[in-house]
Amino acid sequence: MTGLLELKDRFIRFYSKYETWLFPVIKFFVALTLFAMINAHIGFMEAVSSWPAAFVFALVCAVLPVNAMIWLAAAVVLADMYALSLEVAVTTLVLFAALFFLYFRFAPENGIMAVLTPVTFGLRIPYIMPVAGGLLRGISSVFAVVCGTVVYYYLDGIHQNAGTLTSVDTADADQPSRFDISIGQLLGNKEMYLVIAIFVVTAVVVWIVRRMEVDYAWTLAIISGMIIEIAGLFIGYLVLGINGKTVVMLVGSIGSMLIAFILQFLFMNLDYARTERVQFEDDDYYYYVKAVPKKMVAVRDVQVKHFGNTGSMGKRIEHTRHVPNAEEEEHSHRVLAKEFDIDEDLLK
Amino acid sequence: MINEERVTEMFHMAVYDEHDEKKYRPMNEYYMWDYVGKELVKSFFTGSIAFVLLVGLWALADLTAVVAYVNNADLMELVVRMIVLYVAFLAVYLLTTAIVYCIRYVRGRKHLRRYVEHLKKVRKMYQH
Repeated sequence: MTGLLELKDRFIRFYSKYETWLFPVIKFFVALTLFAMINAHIGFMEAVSSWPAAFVFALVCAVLPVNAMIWLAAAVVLADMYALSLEVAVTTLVLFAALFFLYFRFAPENGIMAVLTPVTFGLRIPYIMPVAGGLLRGISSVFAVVCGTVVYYYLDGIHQNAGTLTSVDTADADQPSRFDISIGQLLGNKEMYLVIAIFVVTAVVVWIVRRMEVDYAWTLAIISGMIIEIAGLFIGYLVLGINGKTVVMLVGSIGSMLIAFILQFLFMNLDYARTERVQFEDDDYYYYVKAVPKKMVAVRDVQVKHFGNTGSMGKRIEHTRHVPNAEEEEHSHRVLAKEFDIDEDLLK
Repeated sequence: MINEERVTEMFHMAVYDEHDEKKYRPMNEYYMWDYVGKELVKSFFTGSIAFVLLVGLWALADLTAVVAYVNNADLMELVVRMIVLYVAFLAVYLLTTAIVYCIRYVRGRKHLRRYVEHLKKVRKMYQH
């Protein structure tokens, strides 16, 4: 266990040290996955749904705030829907606008959850989202998960009915219109309502259990959340007569549970503080402060004990304290100066 | 000579100014119910717009049903049904707003209290 905690500590140290670069890199890969999925499923407009375009969008998202990813993805989806048909684009726009008014009032800070929900649906592990929301974010993250779920089911419905939508004869009054088909994906999708209900209950239960003052609260929260999801969806699928989804759901739930335990290991009791760089002044000075957080677990202190007469060993062991030479000292000064952004001469 | 204790306190204040000041400013400017009331007014408008959009979606999907209502002179029934739905939707939406923003206000006040503690310490240091 100590080894794992050291690993966690190393991970946190590494992240703290390179946070400035790592966060944009993570955002880049999340955005690239998102745009690749949009391209693969509903990439009807080639100009915005190609790999080079996805790469450029991901680069843009890497340097902008997380919510910019939502706006850019929404714009790409709208362009794709427009390429499919104007009616579908209008429906999508109205849906996005309704979700915007519902979502941004309550949970604008959970943009990453709204983005990751459709992505995890694509990866067949959406069951992690309400659990992760309940564990790591506040209860308000449930709004983001619900919005992401609605968007996924709507776009999946459009993807599955793309052929029908393109072949609709607008002159034939007996045929359902494109509006009927596209909105039908939303309003008539009982599976979506089931999944939303289960996700909301799961997120609330996980959040409540995680906050309880009992031993293993996080583990209990994860297990109770997964049981609710598996049992709820299993019964729901039976009641609604949805076939062929149980195995995928079970495998996805097991995968989600593993991810949840990894999240627990990484984030439980995490006293992670960012490295802060702030500027202020008083009457006498300007202060440029870089505050580096203290770490939790010390790196293993390896001690070698020798028993018996060490003098008889092939090589004599030097017990005296190592005194760094001038070159080593200069090197350590250079490293410290670089670490704290200070003049190297100050350390001499 | 730089006063290290003073720098530590000022650092906490600077972090607040940089990251949280905008977020928690309303908690300093308003009483709880004024703040929640302001957010309820905002939610009234955004909720109404969201409701109109959702009804618009339904109307687009089920245009024939809407036309049938109008043709059968059931317009009054449709209007009454819409009003009931609108009131129910807004009730849920506004209740959620009230709960969410009450929690935010209480949390924000806690952050503000911590900020004021640092402020007091710095003030004391400068007085001595």
